[in-house]
Amino acid sequence: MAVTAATTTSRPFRGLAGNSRERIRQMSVYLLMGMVTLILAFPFYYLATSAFKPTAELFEYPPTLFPRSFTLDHFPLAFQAAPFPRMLLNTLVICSITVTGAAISNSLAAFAIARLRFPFRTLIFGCMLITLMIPGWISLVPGYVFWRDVGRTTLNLFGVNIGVNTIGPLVIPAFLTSAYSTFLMRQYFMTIPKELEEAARIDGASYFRIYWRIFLPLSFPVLAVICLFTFMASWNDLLGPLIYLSKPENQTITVGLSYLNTQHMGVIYRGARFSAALMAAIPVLTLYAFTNKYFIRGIVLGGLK
Amino acid sequence: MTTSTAATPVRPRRDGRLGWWRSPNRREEVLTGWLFVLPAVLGFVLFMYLNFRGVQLSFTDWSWISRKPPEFVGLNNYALILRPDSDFFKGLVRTLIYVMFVPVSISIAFSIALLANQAVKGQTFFRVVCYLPAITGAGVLVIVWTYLFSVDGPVNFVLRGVGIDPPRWTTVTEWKQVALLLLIAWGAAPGMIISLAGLQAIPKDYYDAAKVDGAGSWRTLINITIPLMTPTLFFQLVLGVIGAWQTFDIIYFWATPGTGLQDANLWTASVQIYQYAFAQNRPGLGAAAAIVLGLVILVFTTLNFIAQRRWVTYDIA
Repeated sequence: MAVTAATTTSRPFRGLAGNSRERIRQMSVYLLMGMVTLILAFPFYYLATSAFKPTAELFEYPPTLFPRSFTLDHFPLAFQAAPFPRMLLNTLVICSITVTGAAISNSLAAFAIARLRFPFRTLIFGCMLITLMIPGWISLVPGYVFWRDVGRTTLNLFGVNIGVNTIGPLVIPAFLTSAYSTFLMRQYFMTIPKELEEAARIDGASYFRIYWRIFLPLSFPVLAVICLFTFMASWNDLLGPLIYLSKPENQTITVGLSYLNTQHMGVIYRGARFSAALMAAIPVLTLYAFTNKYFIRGIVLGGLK
Repeated sequence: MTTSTAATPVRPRRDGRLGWWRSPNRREEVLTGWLFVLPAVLGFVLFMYLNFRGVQLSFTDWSWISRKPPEFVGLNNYALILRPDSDFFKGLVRTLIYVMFVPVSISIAFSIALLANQAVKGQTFFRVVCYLPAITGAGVLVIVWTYLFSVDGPVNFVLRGVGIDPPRWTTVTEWKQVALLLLIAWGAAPGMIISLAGLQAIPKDYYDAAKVDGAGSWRTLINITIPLMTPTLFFQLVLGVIGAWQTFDIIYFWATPGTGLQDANLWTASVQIYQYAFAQNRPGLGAAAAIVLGLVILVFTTLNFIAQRRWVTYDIA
């Protein structure tokens, strides 16, 4: 039959024992998938091996695909150029606070918008969606002016400076919701049956209790998506730390990578750069290894409305 | 939270004749609602305030170091940055390369999605691998890319192996640009997740009908899959173009001073905004450039929505 290849979407896998045309199709699919996997994975393999190759081997031509020798020398060299362990810690602190803020603020707002009836609800939700359409670059300069002025005034949080050169400008916005995350959670909350909260109301539960005891536990998958995406965005954020943090010991690992580039073009620093890049990549890759199903679900949830 | 509901036998009225504040139950609902959206409202107010300040500051001239307050200069900043020989204007034109590359990225994502939609084993693993580029930060990728494409790197080794004399990826501006576009093409793979969700939303009936009519796989792709995928492709195009205009991270790591391969001929519009605002200490100019970029994005998004009528199929029947 000539149409075999066209209906591949619904055909269950039956091993390689189909007719010859089907077998050719499967072999070519595997071949292409293998090529794509190779192209996508090779840079990571190259990074992971190069970080441990001695400098002499890094400059060998042809490049060695399988490292012959192993060294940890590049890491101390990278630490001389920038305080990477400290930067990792800074990044982790910033990410944790940001994720906490995003989880609390977005789920509360989404619960109210999806489930409570109150005046101006639609208007508020509409306003939030408008923010998605304005590029963040417009608030770059005024944002810096704002946080500089906050740092100068007594308008600080319980006596703690939250202006520029602190993590304030990086983490406080997370507590003020992000339209995308709120939207995602609202969509999910809309699908939770009304009976659940009505029963809880009849039993005398407050709305906060309904949110805390019913909606949050039920929405774990979407909450995980929001936490992971916020973590990722915060970890890889370049512009924020770049302008709001100045001292190397307060900087994040993402900006730290650019520190290493500055005066370190010399031969011995090739391995150091690989090792720094590896340090910046490992935490997120590890997280991804354990949570990838949430990531992929999140894209589908957010991508298709 | 505020009052107990047990004491009120009156059910809340939905017709609006009785104000919400009269019923303790409704009062609790409204007050809780306002409390919960308060952070969102604060965030919106701050966001709008910053944007209005952004417009205001774009008409002023000042510097971060001087104590002098911003001085109103009218449209002067705009006149400076919109001259065809200004750094920002050149940056905008350069950014157009990345905008025009968006269809290529979408095609890559779509092709990979077609592959991932085939009924063979190992698809879950394949998806996990395809999403990898999206997890990794630009800083990491640029470091790896610099050495993948270095004179003695693996890419050149492969090219020499197939008999091609490799170009100078890390020294000649045009070739640096090509290497960057290759990085973007490589990074387009995660888009397959959205394409795949679109593919899987196509009803099986269409394929069954095509099969009955004797259509081959190529005809099915052209006449069924692609037309039904156009709404998804359009969604990816709109978001892709908006993102492409704001290309920043990879150019910052690849080409700004002190970051390895510095090359001002690669700077995009947003890198130039950053340069004006902070490196060159002309925040007024930076603010104006950001407004122009915002307007350019608005124009392109509008054009996309106008053009969609010609190619997006919402109803195949």
